[in-house]
Amino acid sequence: MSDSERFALAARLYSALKRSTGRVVDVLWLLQNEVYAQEVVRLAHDAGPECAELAARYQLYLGAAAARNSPAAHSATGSFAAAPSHYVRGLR
Amino acid sequence: MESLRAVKRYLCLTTGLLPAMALADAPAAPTMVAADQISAGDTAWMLTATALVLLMTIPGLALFYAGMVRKRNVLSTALQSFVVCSLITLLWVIVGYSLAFTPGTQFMGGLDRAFLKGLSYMHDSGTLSVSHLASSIPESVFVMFQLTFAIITPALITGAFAERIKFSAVVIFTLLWTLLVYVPVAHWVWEPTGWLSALGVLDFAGGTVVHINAGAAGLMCAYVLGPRVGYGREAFLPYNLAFTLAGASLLWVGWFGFNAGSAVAADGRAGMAMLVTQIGAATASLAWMLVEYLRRGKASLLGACSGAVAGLVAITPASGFVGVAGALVIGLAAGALCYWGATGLKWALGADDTLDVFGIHCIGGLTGAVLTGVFADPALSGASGNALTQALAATTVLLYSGLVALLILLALKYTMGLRVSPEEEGLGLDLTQHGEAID
Repeated sequence: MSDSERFALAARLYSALKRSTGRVVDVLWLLQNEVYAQEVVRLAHDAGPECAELAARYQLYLGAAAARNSPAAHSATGSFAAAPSHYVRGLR
Repeated sequence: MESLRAVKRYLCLTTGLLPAMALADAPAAPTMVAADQISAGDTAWMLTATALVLLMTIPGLALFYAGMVRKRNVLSTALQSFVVCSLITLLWVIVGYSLAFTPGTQFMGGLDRAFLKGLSYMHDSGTLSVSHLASSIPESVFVMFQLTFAIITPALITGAFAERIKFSAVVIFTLLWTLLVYVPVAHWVWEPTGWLSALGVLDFAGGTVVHINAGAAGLMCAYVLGPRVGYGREAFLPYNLAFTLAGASLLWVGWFGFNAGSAVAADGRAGMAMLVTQIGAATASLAWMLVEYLRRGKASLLGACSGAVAGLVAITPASGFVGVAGALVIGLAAGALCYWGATGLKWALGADDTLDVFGIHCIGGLTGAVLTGVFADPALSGASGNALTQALAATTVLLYSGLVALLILLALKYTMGLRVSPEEEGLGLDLTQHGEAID
């Protein structure tokens, strides 16, 4: 799963949780912290079918991420690592 | 000597000393004519050109911009072009057209034509209204054609504040800027009683009115809103540059309506405008890619698209005035200078102009405006150019647009607010401003 896909999934999880339970989670922290992400996923599993489906998808990502946690593998698969350096200062 | 005369005239005009007699016999508008006085050929072409120019904004510019932002902001960026189209249509009908294209004073038209009062088509009597600026086509077509220019100008500015502005601020800024900047500048340059028109400024299709105007406002937007979170530290990956290619292609084709349509006739001058538009765009696209290749060792798709747009911008003021040689030089200069505008100059200015509105539209517009003064061929139009007059007019519009945009932005910043919160920016405008997302 690319960074942008993971972000979109986290954002949908945020939106669905807020809609169904009124609970607000921190999306950026969810992306950065695995322990927090696991807790959000646990909450979402019990928050209705839409949240449960999104939680299951995020759980799959967490599992896959745990399986490839060597620094070398992470560097090779991270999409930002492959981004052209000039995108940092602008598009052109 | 000619330059000195132009400067003196400029000073007279800017200090309000324009002789009143110059305006006294300004034509009244509108005029009712019999339907058989309308040119079917001109009307058919202008209907087509109008549709082409509208196509430049929706979906051309919407796709061009949406492809360059991050995935979380694609929908909001495209929506901004779309909503500008609707907003400006109503503004144009209510007061915009009247204030821009009726004689009035040297600085602004009147309100006599508010709500398009006087525009008519009477089937039974076989009469219809025409504008004093375009007597061979129905006024309804002229109103629509000019409307499409009023739409694309603020839509261009949205590229400068992409990915961090509140949707409500986009709406209010667009309305105020169009009313306070676009409308008067269009009057100055394109209405014969306007002070820049009286000065002899050449702007065939809007290099100054559209592109310098939008570019200067865009720079102010970038400064007042400040950089996006992470700008200069993180790589902001464009969502899909294939969208940008599709958008740039629509812009290129639509530009034939923009430039050749500005002849307001289906004639040889329109044909020349179309030819030089193609030459300018192609030359600038290749020039940009060449510079890019020499500096980075790669020619990119985004570079090809950006160069083409730069060339189209620069040839815009010149398109009814220059020949093939002029178009080649303008294209070459625009490709190289706009590359610098979107890279070296952008970094020197220190503004996060997200999609390089200033670097491409203002720099391209300035290039075209000045070179129109150099390459204008009297044999094509009867008009001869003056580079100094062109530069003075371009600088005046740049400063006016930038200053008024700054004032509008500051007023909005300290009342309703301009930026979304850092958290909302992190989530993206699609979700936080519109409740939508691309999966």
